[in-house]
Amino acid sequence: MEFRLIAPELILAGLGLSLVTLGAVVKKNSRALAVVGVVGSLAALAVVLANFGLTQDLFSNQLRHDAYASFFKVVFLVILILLFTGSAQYVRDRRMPAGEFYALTTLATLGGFLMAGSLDLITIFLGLELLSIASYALAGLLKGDPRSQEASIKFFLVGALTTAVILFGISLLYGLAGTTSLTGIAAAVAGLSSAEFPLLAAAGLFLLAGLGVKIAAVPFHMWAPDTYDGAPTPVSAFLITASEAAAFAVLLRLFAVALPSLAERWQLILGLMALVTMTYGNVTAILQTRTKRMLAYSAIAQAGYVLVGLAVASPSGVSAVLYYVLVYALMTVGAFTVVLLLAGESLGEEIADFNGLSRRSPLVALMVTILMLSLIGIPPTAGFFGKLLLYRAAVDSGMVWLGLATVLNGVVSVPYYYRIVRNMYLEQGTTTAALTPTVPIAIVLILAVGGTLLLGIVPEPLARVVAAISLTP
Amino acid sequence: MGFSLHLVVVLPFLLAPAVPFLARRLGPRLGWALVPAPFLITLYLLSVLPVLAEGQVLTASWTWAPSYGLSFALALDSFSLLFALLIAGIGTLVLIYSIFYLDSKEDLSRFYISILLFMGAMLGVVLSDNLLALYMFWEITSISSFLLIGFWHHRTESRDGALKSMLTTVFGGLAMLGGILLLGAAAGTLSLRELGAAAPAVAAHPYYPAIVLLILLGAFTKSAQVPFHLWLPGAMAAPTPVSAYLHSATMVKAGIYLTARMGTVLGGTELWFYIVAGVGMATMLLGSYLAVQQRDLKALLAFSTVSQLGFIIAMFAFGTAAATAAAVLHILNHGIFKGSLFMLVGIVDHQTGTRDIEKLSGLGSKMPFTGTLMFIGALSMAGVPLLSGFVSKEMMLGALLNPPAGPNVFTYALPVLAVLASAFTTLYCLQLTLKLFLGPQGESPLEPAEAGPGLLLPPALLGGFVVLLGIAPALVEHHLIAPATAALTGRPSSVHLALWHGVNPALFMSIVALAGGALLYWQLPRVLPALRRLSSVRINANTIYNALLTGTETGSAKLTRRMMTGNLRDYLFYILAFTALVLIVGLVRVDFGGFTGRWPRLSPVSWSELAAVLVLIAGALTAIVARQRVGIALGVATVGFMVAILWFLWEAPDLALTQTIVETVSIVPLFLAFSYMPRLRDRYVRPRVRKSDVSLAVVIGVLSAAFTYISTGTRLFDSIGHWFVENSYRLAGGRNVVNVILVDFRGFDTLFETTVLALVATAVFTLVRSRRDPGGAVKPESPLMINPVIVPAVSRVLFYLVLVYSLYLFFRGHHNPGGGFAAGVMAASAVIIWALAFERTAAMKLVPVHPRYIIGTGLLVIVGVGLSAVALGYPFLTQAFGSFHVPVAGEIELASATLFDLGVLLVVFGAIHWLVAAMSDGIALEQEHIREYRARGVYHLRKGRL
Repeated sequence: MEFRLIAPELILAGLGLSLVTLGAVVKKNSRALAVVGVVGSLAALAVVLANFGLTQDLFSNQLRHDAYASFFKVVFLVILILLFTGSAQYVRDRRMPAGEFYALTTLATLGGFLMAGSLDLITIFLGLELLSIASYALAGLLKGDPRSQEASIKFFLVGALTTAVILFGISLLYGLAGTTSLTGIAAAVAGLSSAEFPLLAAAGLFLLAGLGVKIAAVPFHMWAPDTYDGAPTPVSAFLITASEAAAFAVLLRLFAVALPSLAERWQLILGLMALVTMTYGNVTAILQTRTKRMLAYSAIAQAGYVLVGLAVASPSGVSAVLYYVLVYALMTVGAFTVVLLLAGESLGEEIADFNGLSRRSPLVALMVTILMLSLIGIPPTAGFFGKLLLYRAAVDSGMVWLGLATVLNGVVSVPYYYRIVRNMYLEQGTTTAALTPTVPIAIVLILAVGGTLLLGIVPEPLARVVAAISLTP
Repeated sequence: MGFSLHLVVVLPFLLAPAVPFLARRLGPRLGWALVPAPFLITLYLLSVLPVLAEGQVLTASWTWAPSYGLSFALALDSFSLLFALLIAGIGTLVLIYSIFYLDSKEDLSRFYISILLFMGAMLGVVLSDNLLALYMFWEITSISSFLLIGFWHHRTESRDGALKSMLTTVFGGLAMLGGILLLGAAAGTLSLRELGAAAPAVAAHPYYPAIVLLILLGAFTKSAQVPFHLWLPGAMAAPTPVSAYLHSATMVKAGIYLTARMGTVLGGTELWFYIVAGVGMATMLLGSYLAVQQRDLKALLAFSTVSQLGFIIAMFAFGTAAATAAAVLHILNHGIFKGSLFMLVGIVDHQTGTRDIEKLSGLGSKMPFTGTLMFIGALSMAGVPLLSGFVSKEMMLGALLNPPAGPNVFTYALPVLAVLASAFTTLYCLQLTLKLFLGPQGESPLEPAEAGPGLLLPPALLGGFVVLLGIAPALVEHHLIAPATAALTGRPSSVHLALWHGVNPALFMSIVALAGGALLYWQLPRVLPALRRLSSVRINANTIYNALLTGTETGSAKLTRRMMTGNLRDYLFYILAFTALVLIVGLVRVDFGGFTGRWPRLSPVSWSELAAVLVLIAGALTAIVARQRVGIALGVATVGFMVAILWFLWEAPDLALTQTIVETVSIVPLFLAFSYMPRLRDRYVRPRVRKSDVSLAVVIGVLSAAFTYISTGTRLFDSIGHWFVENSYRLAGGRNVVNVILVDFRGFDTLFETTVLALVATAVFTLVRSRRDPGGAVKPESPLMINPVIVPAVSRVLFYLVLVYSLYLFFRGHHNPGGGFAAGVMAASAVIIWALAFERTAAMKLVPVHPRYIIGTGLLVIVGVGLSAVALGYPFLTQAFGSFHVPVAGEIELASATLFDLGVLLVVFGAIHWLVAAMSDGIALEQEHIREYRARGVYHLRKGRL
């Protein structure tokens, strides 16, 4: 049983290592590596889906296999599969070391798996490091491009600091509870007198700050635009979606399982953090002229939305986060795939590169429009229902102000998402040559945009799935 | 029945995707293929008219997303029917009109797709019973209208208009969504039909004011009420058929529809009355006042629409039967006459090439039909008797005299304001007719000529209605107006529509308004400049909009400059500073006051401990102040070794050994790397920056120390360490606790830790990528070769000693300090010694296999051990143990854990080996690599802020 439940992790580990090895053998053919990566990830996805309903604690309570973890694993794998499918050409064009790219992304995903399923601080830390270290290297994979190098080194140094902060939080928590198991901590914390509370709060704050850096929440966000802008495009997409989702997975479980009392006391702090993060991201995104940088600030804003689900400290908040994380992954991967598509002609770095896209390819322009609408949160798109769940979670917990702030923040985000749409439809581009996506990119776009639209028109099934997922048995 | 109701909404949506295919087949005749759709819908709506007039409500519901409270539930009563008829009926006419109006070279399919989507969404808005569904359709109208307004995208004003309308209506829509959800929370339902019953509960709910404000924000933005009216004139850049459709009959009426519906739930309070009546009347006055001053005919009509909508909305503040009936009738009238006026202005534009009122006059002789129709429409708007507008306008004026609140200044002011606004209305209606069609002919770009019958037919039909309804308003009374009023008020309507209501105050008000307007028109050359002077000094809503926009932008720029400096030092500083700040503020605020604290009882400090700690601090300080890399590295190393010494002093030799080896091995690659790095420059740091760095470091240090200190005193539970120490041999057959934890208790962690290690090696190798295999030729000679004779000689001996020692460490590891990890690091350090003493090339050749494969083998062994447990029926990673007595070496534990440990050894060895390889030859190649990369021109470096 344990073996079956851990099989997806083993598949990923095996896949990652064989990709390293294969990368050394087939140096020229990055497409073959992509195919291996996609097939392996699909296999892992099949196993995860087959195991979806099973709940069991593994390896003396270090890992918990439950629907919550499974959901995140599905999200990670969806991201991985879409990115692997869409990035082969980019990897070749930019002469990225293909073996390393595919292997490191796979291993980073494995880190995300561990984080989503961890029931123990040590395992959480392990997953976090697995994910982070791979990410530092991934961000710097464009050799000779100073932007990429800068992205990597900034990410690494900030990440190293974060690691220290998180470790300190873990050690404080361990000192307090005498165990690193989340359930053990919960039991210990329940018996805590108010005299010990400051210590608990300090431990929680260190963990929050450390994980706050990972999700790029204000005021821990400064590294994010530099890194997301400079990193290779598929890597940026991976970091914005999978890496942040993994940090959210840990934060939610940490607060819901180990520190519920803190979560309740910190509603206001977390709510303010959410509010400031979303507003800051939206306001600063307005003036950006580089596509990835704009999407990076947009990612900060979106992280703010997801934080609402954390701040409300309720089961409906957890469901809302799950829904939003999946939807956001689809939208973002879709948007970055368009950047990948344009990168095929050395375009896409600047928002101005979208000029006149509607005449070059009406269908792609339409798809981008749908993605942008979804990012703003306008029906009938998946983004709308994601925000709706977050809003409802906030109102149900009595945080009406936070719910309204989430909804109205959409207005602040209109100008910059709109600019891409406007450029596509209303501006003259430098070229009018027809733009035809390659088959893999077309597949990714259809899946991402189709998913965004489908979940916007038929939101019920996914809503039921996330509503049934709970962190507290 | 249920299905046909849904079909009304769904049909346009179904048709829209087919448009591109039809366009390919039909070309310019595309429009004709689409006309039947709205026409059939109109016929269907007319067919149910009698049934609904009896007070019946047609309902149909499809489930959509019950988890969200969202259902595709439709309810058609007479009030909805009124709107639906306007949408479908005028939609039919607008489609016909557009066939003749649009050039066949335009992107017709885009136009028709947008207008079909818009039509379906509008029908969805007025038929939805579920408020969430209503909101969804509401937003689709915003998007499709954005596409329609921006249709002529090559014009700048078209784009700005489109953005402005998009921003305003999206803002309003989102606010409305907030209100709807709060309403749902307060009333427990999102169904319009059920909400009526919950009205008292809602009015008493604490959310009530918020609900009213938010929902009205949505309605007011959509209906272009003050101060959101600024988007509507900008939207006049749209092609005329669009204006005729969106801005007379449909989109702007959505706000009115919502206000009317919500009036039944939220109305009846003073809050509602004052806000709705106040905004409505202010809009009416401001709109007509601005309309008078416009030169562009469409802008004139746009402000006129704003004004009329304000008047209608104010009626719903009253909520009385008379006011409601008046509003309902005027909605119908306005839709009809304004639709025809827009089309007629479009014809004028089409035929003369301009919409500038200054350039146009005396068109009557050349365009008699257009002129006649314009007279009918405009005079109806002005409220001239015998035309439809008169009846409804008089009813509305009369309703103003019976306010539900007051009497106070506000309620007295309402009729006065209405008369003043009506005088302006008369004035611009006269401009539209007398100025345009009588008098000498003006100078238009094109020679005016009468339009063809295709363009004239739709406005002519509408004009016919205007006359018909004016003479016989009773025609619509029984089947439409009375039941629609009843649907809103919930009581049978006693309203009687008639051309002549007798001599009453309302008639007097009408006469004053008409006479005042005529007077103003007579004095127009003097009135107009005076009005324009007045307008120029006033702060108008556009300046607010622009200020908001630029304010956000400058704020954005400031934020970016301030925080996003691109300087890593600043980033790290911010992160730490905020953590410290939250820590301090949070603790003081939360309950530091309640902290009594248990200060730890410290064991006595020995001299040796003190010495080690002092050296440690000195090392840390050295690392900070050192000016050369070697110094920094030594400082850091000192800290590490002192920690190891502390482990020794605290009797944890296994930890100490591990720490020592790790420190050693991590320092060596540093030194290897240094020789390739540029000299450390002495960078000037501003004293202020230095000061803040130092103080932040002190704060963080003190905080961490304090928390550590306190936490050691708060040991509430037994250390987990005891458990490991007690159970280590019993359960796992080992006495070296570190090793047992690694291979057994936390074997699962170790599996992944080794994966992390493999990953680190890959990552580092990737970052300082060496394109040659580690065994290949490496250019630079070892810079650390100190003595060419002695060092190699000693190293040769040392190499084998270290290797043997590492084997020893490995086999004793399960009981005594050592184990796979320590052994792996030890073995790697043997290679490092060789590398230091001889060429690195030689060192790499010592191991014939690529480090990749060593790591891979190690991982395979680890997983294999785990899997073999599974194969034997035990859980994954279960270990077995037993011991053998071997001469010389003594007791040797040959547990499956030993195999596992071997895997760890291989991974650790391979990883470090690879690291050293990468470090040693990677950096030198880096520079060459970058040069080559740039020369290829694969990537352009753009200047920009990082």
